[in-house]
Amino acid sequence: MLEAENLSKSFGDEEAVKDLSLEVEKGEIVGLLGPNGAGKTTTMQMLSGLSTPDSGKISCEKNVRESVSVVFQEVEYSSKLKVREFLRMMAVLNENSEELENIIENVGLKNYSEMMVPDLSGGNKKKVNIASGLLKDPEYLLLDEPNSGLDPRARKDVRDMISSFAGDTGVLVSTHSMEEAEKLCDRVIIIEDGQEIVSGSPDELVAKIDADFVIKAEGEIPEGFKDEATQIEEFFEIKTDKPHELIKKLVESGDIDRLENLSIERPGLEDVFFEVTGRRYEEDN
Amino acid sequence: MKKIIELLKADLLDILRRPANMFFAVLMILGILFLTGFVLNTGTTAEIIASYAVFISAYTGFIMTSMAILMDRDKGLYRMYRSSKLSKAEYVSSKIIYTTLSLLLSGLIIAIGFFTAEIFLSWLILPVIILTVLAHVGMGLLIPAFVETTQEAQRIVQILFFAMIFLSPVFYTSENLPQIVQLLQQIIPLTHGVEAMRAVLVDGQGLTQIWRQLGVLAGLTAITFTVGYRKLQF
Repeated sequence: MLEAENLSKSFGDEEAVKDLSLEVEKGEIVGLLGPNGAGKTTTMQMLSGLSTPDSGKISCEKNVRESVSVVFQEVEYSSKLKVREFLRMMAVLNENSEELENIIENVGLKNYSEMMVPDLSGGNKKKVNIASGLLKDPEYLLLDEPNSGLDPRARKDVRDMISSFAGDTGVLVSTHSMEEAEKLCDRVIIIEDGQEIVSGSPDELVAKIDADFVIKAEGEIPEGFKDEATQIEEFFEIKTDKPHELIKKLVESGDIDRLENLSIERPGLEDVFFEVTGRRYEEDN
Repeated sequence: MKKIIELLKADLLDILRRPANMFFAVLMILGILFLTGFVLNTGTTAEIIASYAVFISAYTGFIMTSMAILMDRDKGLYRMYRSSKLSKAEYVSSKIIYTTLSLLLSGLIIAIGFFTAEIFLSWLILPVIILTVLAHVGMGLLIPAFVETTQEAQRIVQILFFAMIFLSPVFYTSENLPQIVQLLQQIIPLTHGVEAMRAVLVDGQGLTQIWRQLGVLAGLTAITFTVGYRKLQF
């Protein structure tokens, strides 16, 4: 198990991570969730052994730097190398040349292996990134925002790929997308300002919200709903188990005409974030 | 060794696949050398050849090392290398070998000198150039240790290098300079590289005459390289 206890890290006066503890078991996918600037990348750097925490401890079965592989989001591939050439280099650097062909195939880069890396699409560059991380044959793989900047199809491809190799590897995925985390992770840790605010499995966390549906709309809270609705800037939301009755009431009162972007959703991690912090998650992104 | 070869192979493939960039870079360096050689330099052709054979190695050693590491860092590759099973010694070795490509330019300048001036060829040319390159690689390693971005580094490297060029006797000889400048020159590796190379190429001196310059150069190389290597976080 990769375990971090009470990690803290500051840059000058700014505390990037404060007293954060987490653990990743082999075979599970854990999401490190939080808005931009929450401290996810700093946490990843410390967990991989590339950066030293100011205080706290990181441990696993063997040496952390040897057991953990980290894949960062911002890699600029400007070198004129073919996919196979670049990955062969990474395979040699990781003393794992025998796995090269398997990994190229598993991450879905076989048809692109003779293409120049800078000419690849964003999704395929992410796959090159992930393949490089896998070539270390790590016990724990840390993925920093693997889906940022990708279109929905490429996001699904990357998600499927991560799920497929999680078998005996512990995976920690940092993301600011609650939706991605819900789809991919067995367990999530939501952080804000470098501190954990809540953690658990997505289902467990969502189950704590005492309603089957959340109705969201843009506008003033209509009269007659003041007690049950919560206003957050230009939006308000109402939690309910019977959305059809609520919509009927809104239609009959004529209030529905004054509302925009009305939606009925199953509660998700965004609602968990709201429940804990009192703020809408999107505002922080 | 396999890892170093693989890193070098990747660097060389990248260079060879951009022939226009390489051609213009070499052309620009040779252009600057010829211009400064004829306009600013007060020495004889043999002295100019000796100075520039060393100067080009020092320049490339310093600039290529610092910029190559900073560019790896800017691109995110440095963290990727650090996260792999590559050791710091292997990474730095690959950068040193990459930098020694500059020996080809030094060789070209000496070859030009061979046909245009009276110079003495000697095996001592090699240790002089290699020690000068290593001293400047060490200084190049120090830049990424203290500077965050390539842009910032470019400014610092230019300032530092111009200061070194004008303080060391690349364009002139030291005898007529004020005492304080002569003292400052003693801590600059380029000074000892240029003086040793002039002694070998222009005056045809042997090891017994230049051992002092080589010794100082080796000492400065050991200092800059040790500090640079230790300060580089990998």
